[in-house]
Amino acid sequence: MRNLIKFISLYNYSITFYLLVFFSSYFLVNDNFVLKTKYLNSSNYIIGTVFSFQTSITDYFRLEQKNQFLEKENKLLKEQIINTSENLYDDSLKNYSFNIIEAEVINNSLRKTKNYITINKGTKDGIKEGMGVISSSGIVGKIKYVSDNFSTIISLLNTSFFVSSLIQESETLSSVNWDGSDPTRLKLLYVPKHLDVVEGSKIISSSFDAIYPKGILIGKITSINSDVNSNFYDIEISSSQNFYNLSKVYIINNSMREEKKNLEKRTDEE
Amino acid sequence: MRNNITLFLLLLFLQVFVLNKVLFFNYIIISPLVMILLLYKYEKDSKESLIVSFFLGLLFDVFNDSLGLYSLTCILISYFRNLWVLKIVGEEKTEELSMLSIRTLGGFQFFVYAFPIIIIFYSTLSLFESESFLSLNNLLFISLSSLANYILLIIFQYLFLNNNLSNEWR
Repeated sequence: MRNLIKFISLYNYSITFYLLVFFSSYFLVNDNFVLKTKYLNSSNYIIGTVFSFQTSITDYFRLEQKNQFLEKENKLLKEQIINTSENLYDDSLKNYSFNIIEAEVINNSLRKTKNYITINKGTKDGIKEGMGVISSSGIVGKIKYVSDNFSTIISLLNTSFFVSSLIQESETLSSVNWDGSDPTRLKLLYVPKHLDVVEGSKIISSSFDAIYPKGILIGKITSINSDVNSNFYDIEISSSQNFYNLSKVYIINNSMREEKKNLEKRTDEE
Repeated sequence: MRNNITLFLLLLFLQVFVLNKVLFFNYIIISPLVMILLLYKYEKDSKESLIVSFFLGLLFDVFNDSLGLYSLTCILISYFRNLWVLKIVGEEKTEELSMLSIRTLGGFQFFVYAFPIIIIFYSTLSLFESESFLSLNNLLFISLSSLANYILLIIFQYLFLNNNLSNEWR
C-alpha cells in the first residue's frame, strides 16, 4: 500500500495527464452531439440562450438585407399561390403530405469538414430527428438531434451527408455531397459517363429519400470532368444556398415518411 | 487578478462570437486559446496547468460544438510545453521567470519556444477535423494560421502585457 502511494505521488503529474487525455479522448470518440444531448442538456440550453442573444444583436445589423430578402421571398410565394390555385386539382395533391415549420438559425459553423447548424425550435414545436431542412434558396440539411427548445441540423456542408438528387433536364438520378473544401461548391456523384450532361443544368432534390419533396433546388452544374478513371463523371456544382448568411429555415415534416420507410424495410428483409 | 479575468473574458468573447465564425483568406483561423496557453504561468510538472488547460479546452469545445477536440489539444499542448520549456530554457532559469513572454525570453528564444507549440496546436486540430491531413490545403492552413497567430501573439504582448500586467498574469 505504501509503495502504491509512493508510486502515485512520484508520478502524479503523468497520471493526471493520462487521465485527462483519457477523458477528452472519450468525449472525442463518442459522437459529440450524442454526448451533448444526453448529458449536457442544461449546457445546451444555456449556450442556446447565449447564441439566441447574439443572433438578436447581429440580426439588427442585417435588417436591411433581410428586408430585401423577404420582399423577394414574398414575391416568389405569391407566384406560387397563383400557380397552385390554377392547378389545384391536379398537381398540388402530390405534395399534400408535407408540413412546414419555420425556424431561426442561432448558430452555424462553416469552417469544419463536419458542419452543424443550431436552430431555435425543438420537440416542443413538433420537430423530430431526420426531418429535412430547406430555406427559400434551396436545401440546407437534415435534423440530427432535438432537445426541448433547440435542434441541431447536419448541414449540407458536412462530408458525411448525402442528398438524393436529380439533374432537372434529364431526370438522371444522382447524389450530392460536399468534399470539405469550398463552402460554395458541391460534388454531384454517380452520374454515368454514357449520359449527356450540360454545364448550367439545375440540380434538384429527388424525393426518393422521403426527406425533401421533389424539385427543391440544390445548385447548378459549373464544371464537368470526364477524364477520371471511373465509370462516373467528376461534376462540380455551385450551391444555390449561401451558407454564409443563412438566417431563416423551414423544417419539412413528411407525414408519410415512416410509412414509406417501414414498407421498404419489410421489402428489404424478404 | 481583475485584469486577468477581464482579458480572459475578452479573449473568450472574441473566440466564441467573432473568430469562431471567421476564416481569413480561406486558410487562416485565429485562436486566442493558444495565446492563453502559451502565456499562462509556468511551473515545472504543474498539475494545475494541466487541469486548467483541460477545462479551458472543454469550455471552448462546448461553444464550438466539438466536445473533446480542444480539450485534448490543450492537454497535449500543456504537456509538451512542460517538456519543451525545460529543454530550451533550462530548469534553473524557469524558476526565476514569472512568465514566458517575449520580454523575459528575448525574441529568438521566444520564437523557439512558441512557434513549435502553435504548429502542434494547429496540426492536432486539423488531424482530427480534416479528412486528409497531408493535403496541400491542410498544410497551407497549418503554416499560415500558425504564422498569423504568432504575429498576433507578439502584437498582443506589446499592446496589453505591460510590465505591471505581466506580473499579474498568473
